[in-house]
Amino acid sequence: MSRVIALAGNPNCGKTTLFNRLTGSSQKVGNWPGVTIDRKEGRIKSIGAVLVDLPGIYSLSPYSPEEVVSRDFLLDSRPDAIINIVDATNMERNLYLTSQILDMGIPTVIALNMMDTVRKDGTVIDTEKLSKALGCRVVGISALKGEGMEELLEAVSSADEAPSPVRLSGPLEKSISEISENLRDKVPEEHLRWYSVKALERDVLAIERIGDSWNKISEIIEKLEKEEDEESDSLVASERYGSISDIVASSVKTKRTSGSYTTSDKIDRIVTHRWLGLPIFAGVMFLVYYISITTVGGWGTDWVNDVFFGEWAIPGAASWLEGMAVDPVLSAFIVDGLIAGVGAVLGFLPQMLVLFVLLVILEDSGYMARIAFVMDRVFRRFGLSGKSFIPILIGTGCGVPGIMASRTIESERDRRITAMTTTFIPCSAKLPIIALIAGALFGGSALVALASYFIGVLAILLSGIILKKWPSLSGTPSEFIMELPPYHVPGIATVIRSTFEKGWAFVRKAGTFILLACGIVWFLSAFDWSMSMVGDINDSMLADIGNAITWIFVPLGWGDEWQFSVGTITGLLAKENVVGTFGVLFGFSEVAESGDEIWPIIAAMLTPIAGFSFLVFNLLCAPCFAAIGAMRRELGTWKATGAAVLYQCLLAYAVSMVIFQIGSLLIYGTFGIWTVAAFATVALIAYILVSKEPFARYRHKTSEAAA
Amino acid sequence: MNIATIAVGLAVAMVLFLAAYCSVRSFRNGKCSGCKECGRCKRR
Amino acid sequence: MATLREVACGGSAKVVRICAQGPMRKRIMDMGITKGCTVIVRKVAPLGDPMEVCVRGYELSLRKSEAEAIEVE
Repeated sequence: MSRVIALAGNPNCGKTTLFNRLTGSSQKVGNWPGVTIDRKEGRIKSIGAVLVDLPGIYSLSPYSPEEVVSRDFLLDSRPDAIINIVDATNMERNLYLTSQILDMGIPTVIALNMMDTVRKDGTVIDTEKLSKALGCRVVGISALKGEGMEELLEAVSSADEAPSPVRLSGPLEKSISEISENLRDKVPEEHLRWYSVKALERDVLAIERIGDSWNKISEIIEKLEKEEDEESDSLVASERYGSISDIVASSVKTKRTSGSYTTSDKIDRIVTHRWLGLPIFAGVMFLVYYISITTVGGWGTDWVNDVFFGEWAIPGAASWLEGMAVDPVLSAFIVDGLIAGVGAVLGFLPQMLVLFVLLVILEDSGYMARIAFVMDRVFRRFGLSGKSFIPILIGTGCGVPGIMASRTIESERDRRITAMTTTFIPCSAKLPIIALIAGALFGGSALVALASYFIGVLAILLSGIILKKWPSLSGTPSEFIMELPPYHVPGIATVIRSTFEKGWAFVRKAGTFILLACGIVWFLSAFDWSMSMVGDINDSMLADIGNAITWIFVPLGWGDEWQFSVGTITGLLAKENVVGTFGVLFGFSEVAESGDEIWPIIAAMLTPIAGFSFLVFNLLCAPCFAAIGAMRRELGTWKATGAAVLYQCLLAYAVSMVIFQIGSLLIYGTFGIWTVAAFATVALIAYILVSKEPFARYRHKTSEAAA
Repeated sequence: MNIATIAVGLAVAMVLFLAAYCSVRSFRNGKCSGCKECGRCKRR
Repeated sequence: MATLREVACGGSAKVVRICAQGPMRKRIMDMGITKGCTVIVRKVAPLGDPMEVCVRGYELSLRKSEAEAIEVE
């Protein structure tokens, strides 16, 4: 049986880096039972052990799911050893968790990370002294640079003794002993200290396990509180920190005086400045999109479309197939179907890659945390916290990790609302749609992209208000205590690797889902029900299917022609499919050579406002299946997911209708029954926003469902 | 139906089959659209 | 009694009591704000809230409403 080792530590202390280094490619991701938190496990080949990555936690309190899951694992599944990773540049707070871990009586090794930074700062840490003071081995490492790994593994292999816990003050230790006496028969010997201290803190989960001895213990605690004139949990916390302070002071010699400004602080003074902060943020985001879509990325995309496809791939394939006298139907399938569809999508790869690079840099450098800080005020007005902003920012790349990032939000209500609304912000897969509409109907104006993001954020904020009023989701606003990690220059290797992975995922998606979808679309659009080829696409099977549903979208302005509803439906599989489908239906293969793409064809079928309505609908409606899957994982049930998707589609429909109808009214003066409906919708939304309990009659139904 | 058509046809069928297989597989894994480094969501 | 919320930017204060209850109380203490420790107020965010403080050598941000629950002197 191989040994099981748990990896525990604060968030942002390099745990993931260490985990990756120790387990390499042998990682497996699963789930902790009962909660939506990932469980990562891997093999450390050199010592033949299994490493279980616990969620990043600051403490082992009984409140957040991450902490509970960690506690339960350490107490019930009893690993053979624990690697506690501690950030050397932040020792006091990190050691707070350590002191709790040491109480558990499991052999522990402390991996003191970021030693490279510590050396650079000129700080000297005496790990021997630290070891003695903490009662377990301390190994200095740098997970990033790979230093200290052997020593760490050696220490872990030989760790088999229970560590000595961090001692608190006299009066407290006395109370702890008294409590221990009462618990001696109730809990396993090795956990005695853990339960005694937690009981002293009035920890609710510990109290549950203790049962009826609680009365006696309660008396002991009250006696202590009277003597010290302070609540027991506050006493324990201060003393843990007190002991830690002493330990750190005796083994760490730092050059920096506490409270002084580091480089990170200096940067922050500008970036989160009261007045400059927001404009700087707006500027940074604008720059990101300008570089990735308009300039550098845009040039790449133009080249791919015009040269790669226009001059090489499409004519090349066409003539090669012709040269071999391949059956023309098959040829058409390949060229007009597969290549045209996938080509239309792959054309956007350059823009995506540049965007991915920039977003990874932003996230890795620590700037994203500052953004949550800056946006908190705005978000709180709408019932969410600034922390909701990070999933949204990640969602601009891909909605799936964005939705998963909502896990960092502690408040369940906020987490769920964020998970439901993250996909409103255009993800990279929706960019092709934006670029297409912008190019075909708005002269390629960057304002279309800007408007799309603006509408996305607006939809999220408004949803925050609306959903907050839905009974099963209302509750107290979330707290906003968040650590701002110091800035750090993203490693080139990390950036390249991340970008490559994302880029590859995009290409793989194109080569799988989109390839299939385009094949099917071509087939359905080239044949009619009797399986003979059609001359006019409007006689095909697809046209019939399209016409059967397109009437739904007539009030939105793009229901007259069936191609658009078909595009929207294929978008469910992957948002890029919308463009891929159009590539097939509007003949990308024919026009790529001339560089015109399919713009004129679209322009002939839609007015700009109708095109914009189409764009908005696709931006806001149900996301791709992968994202829906991610929502399901976050929200827990298919029922909740279905409700979320329904909400998204309804909102999308309402907003698109309003845009088209009122827009047409203003621009063309058209007025009809749907214009009235649009105004009614606006009134309805306004009502929901303003009234206190618009969903009052659903209160009982949903609280039963939630119970 | 000449040889070329059959050969190309088979090749295309294989590609499509692979595509279908990959799609179904990643769908059933419940995994995201391919960003394997989902260790990011554990960063905090 | 004065709370952390009222401390001016650049100023520092010593924590006297944590008035919050439940999860928020735990969270505040877990993050290092305990009785007797010194907290330095760095700045306030561009829109007025939250505030950034330095405690035990690292930067932490918390809302003014949360700072209100921390008594200082």
